Amino acid sequence: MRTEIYEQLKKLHDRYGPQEFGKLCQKFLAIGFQLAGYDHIVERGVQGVDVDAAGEKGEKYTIEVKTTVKKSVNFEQKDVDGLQKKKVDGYLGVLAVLRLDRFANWVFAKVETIKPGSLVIDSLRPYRLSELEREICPFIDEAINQHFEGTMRESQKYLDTVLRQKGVEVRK
Amino acid sequence: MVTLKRLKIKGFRAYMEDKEFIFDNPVILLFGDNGTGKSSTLNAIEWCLFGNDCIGAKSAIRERIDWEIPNRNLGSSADIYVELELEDENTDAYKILRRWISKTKDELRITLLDGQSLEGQNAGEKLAQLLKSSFRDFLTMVYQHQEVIRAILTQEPRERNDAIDRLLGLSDYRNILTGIETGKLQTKQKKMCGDFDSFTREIDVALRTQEGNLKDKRGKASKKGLKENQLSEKGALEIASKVKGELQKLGLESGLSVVDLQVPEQWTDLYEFQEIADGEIKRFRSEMPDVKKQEDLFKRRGEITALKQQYQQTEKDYNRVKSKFDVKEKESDKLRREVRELENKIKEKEKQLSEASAKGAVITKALGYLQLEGIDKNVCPVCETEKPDLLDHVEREWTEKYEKLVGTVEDELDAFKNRQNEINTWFEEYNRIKRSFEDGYRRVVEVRKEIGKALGREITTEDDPDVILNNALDGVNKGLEVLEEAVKSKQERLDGISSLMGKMQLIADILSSEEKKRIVEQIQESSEYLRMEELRDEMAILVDDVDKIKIAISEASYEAAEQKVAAAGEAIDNYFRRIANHPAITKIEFSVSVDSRTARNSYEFKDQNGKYLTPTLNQGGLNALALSIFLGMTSLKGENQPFGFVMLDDPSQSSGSGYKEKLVEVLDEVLDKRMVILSSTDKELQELVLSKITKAKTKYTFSDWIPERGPEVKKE
Repeated sequence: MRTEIYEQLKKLHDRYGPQEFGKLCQKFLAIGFQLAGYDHIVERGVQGVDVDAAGEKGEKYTIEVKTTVKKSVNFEQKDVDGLQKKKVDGYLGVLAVLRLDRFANWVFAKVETIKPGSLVIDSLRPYRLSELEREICPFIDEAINQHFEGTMRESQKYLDTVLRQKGVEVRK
Repeated sequence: MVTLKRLKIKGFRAYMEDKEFIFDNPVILLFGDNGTGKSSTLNAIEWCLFGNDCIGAKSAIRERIDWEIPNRNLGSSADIYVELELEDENTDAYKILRRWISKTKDELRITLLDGQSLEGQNAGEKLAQLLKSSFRDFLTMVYQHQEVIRAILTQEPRERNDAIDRLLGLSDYRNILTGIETGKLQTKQKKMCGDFDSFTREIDVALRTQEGNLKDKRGKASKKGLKENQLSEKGALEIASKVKGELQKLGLESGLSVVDLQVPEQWTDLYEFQEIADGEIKRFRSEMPDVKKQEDLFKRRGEITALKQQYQQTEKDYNRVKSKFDVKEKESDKLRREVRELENKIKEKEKQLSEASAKGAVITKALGYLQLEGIDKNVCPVCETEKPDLLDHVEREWTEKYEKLVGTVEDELDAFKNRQNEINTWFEEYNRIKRSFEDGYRRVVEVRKEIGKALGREITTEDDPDVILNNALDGVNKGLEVLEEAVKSKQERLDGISSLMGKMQLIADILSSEEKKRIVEQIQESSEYLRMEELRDEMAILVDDVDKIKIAISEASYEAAEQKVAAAGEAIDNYFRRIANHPAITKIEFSVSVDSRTARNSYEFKDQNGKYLTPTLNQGGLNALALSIFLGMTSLKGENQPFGFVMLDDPSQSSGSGYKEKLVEVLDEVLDKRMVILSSTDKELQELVLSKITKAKTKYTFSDWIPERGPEVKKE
């Protein structure tokens, strides 16, 4: 993660606290997918899987977003169930984890073989979707950089407006 | 399954001459006393099959640490070998010849059915293919060696499980699991991650340090009035340009030459610019004309002030001495006159005294004469005329006239002389003061000359140097006042330039810290860092894959073990109950599970009540159990049991008759599946084998071992 992005995220985390920060990251991720060219994106603010993204080439991802300042995240059975439900529609279940650390990056991991529980982020490495990370993460950084000021001012409200303007379906 | 057909031994351990053994019956009995070469015969089979793996520390058998292959009584050039004829499950025959070369080297040759002969590596590979087992496997599956078989039950669980796995022919699984464990991939991954974390922590510390520096410097910059947009290369270079302009302007105004200051094109060269500009500011401060003048006037003021103080002190000293001298001088004339008068008076008194002394001397002589005995006191000694009461008259004259007169004159003379001394002392003081007065005067004259010299004019006695000096000082002070204003103004301008330089340096420092921070930040964007990240992923995938393999192997090993335990369990139970004949044990439950920590098979033996067996068994019971497991495994068939024979070395040690009978019964059953090579010193067991075993037997009797010949072996 570039230092400037880390610093922006840290400011958001310090300002809004971990829970709200998680929601903001989820929205930044959705914008990242939109910037990367995915045309059908759903972002859920309250229940269900956090983000669905489908591209022109038929790629479909259903994404559970977790943010933390620690080295592990809690991946719960309800998360597995939520991702599992979308599988029938051809979606690949992805656990997207961001550790707020100067040297950390987003980790996108296939959830097929991941068991629920407290997961050490490093243990997700074997299941990483490295290509997807390379494709999307620069756009998430761009989204953060572009919308940092507005998010600092108005938090989720601002990002929801941005998402809607970009044609992303925001469900509350 | 490999079976034995023939064995030929020469020079191996107890053997000297070549001996041949034919394995032509299901039971081969090697019988004889201790030390007659029976064990050497079994060892010869091992060595022929496994070479150096079965000797020394590699064998993992304590007594073999210092094993010697050649017989000690043979010469160094003796031919030492073991030749073994085998037959595989297809009844293909192989002749294996292993010849001893040196402690670390032997020669292997395999002759195949068609007469083709393999040597060296090819021979080794062929043998491994044929045996499908390591020496460790052979030890647990074939050779009932006391030390090894007891280890199955008495050593720690890990070794026991290892030995049972081998007995069950599951060594390959276990070896792979051991290999995975030895690889310590997870430990290495942890270390890799730990090293990576340490590295990133160091970067983090470096970044935090730079951030701290930057915050501090930005705070200082703000206090110095620098705006955010000035904290840039452009801002710093603009200040440098301003510094240059100010210095040039001041130089021109002050008539000072200015070096050709080059404003750098990039901030990294600002430090050099600053060094040169600093030197110029220092030079301006010291070489500015007004400053020089000011310095001269300060010096002049110091000189005049010193002269003034010197003059005032000299004048003061002189006046003090002069007033003293004036008082003395007035008194001195009167005293001079008195001295002269005193001198006359002293002369006169001395004359009077002299005269009175002469007359007094005559009188005192006359008195002395008249006072003598026998002298007529009434006759004049000069004229010898009668003078009545002459002595009384002379005595009266002396007392009343001369004695008094002389005393008076002497007192007066003493008074005059005392006065004369007092005046002399006064004049000594007078002369001292006079000298001081004269010296003071000279000093006054000298100081005046010095003042004249310093002021460049003559100072006469009519002049007042004090006033003249005051006037000169006033002149200097006025000059200084004028200069002070001019110098202050220029120094303030130089201070202003220095302040600009301070700001410029601060910006350069900020830019330097930002540059350092940027360099550290770029580490995580470098290809090397990204490669490290990839390596961590690859390592994690490798560890995960290996873990999956480990689980798969563990599962396969467990499934195979479970099947074999199920197959052999009944035989083990049967054999143990018969051999041990233990009243309290009516059934043995042999079970296997997977050790969740090591992912390896873990074996348990329990009695009919589900209680662990080994803690309750005595040594005989343990031996029986170990032997039962060993023999029970012979009931297994398949690829994992490549040997068609077992070798028992003295299995009846310290056992009773009942035990031996049961053992022979069991062996008779084992013989349905395997050839048995039995070595024993026990006559009772020999008789039982010969009389009770239903299969055909070949007996070799060992006797009369002598060093020069080796054992005497007879086939019966």
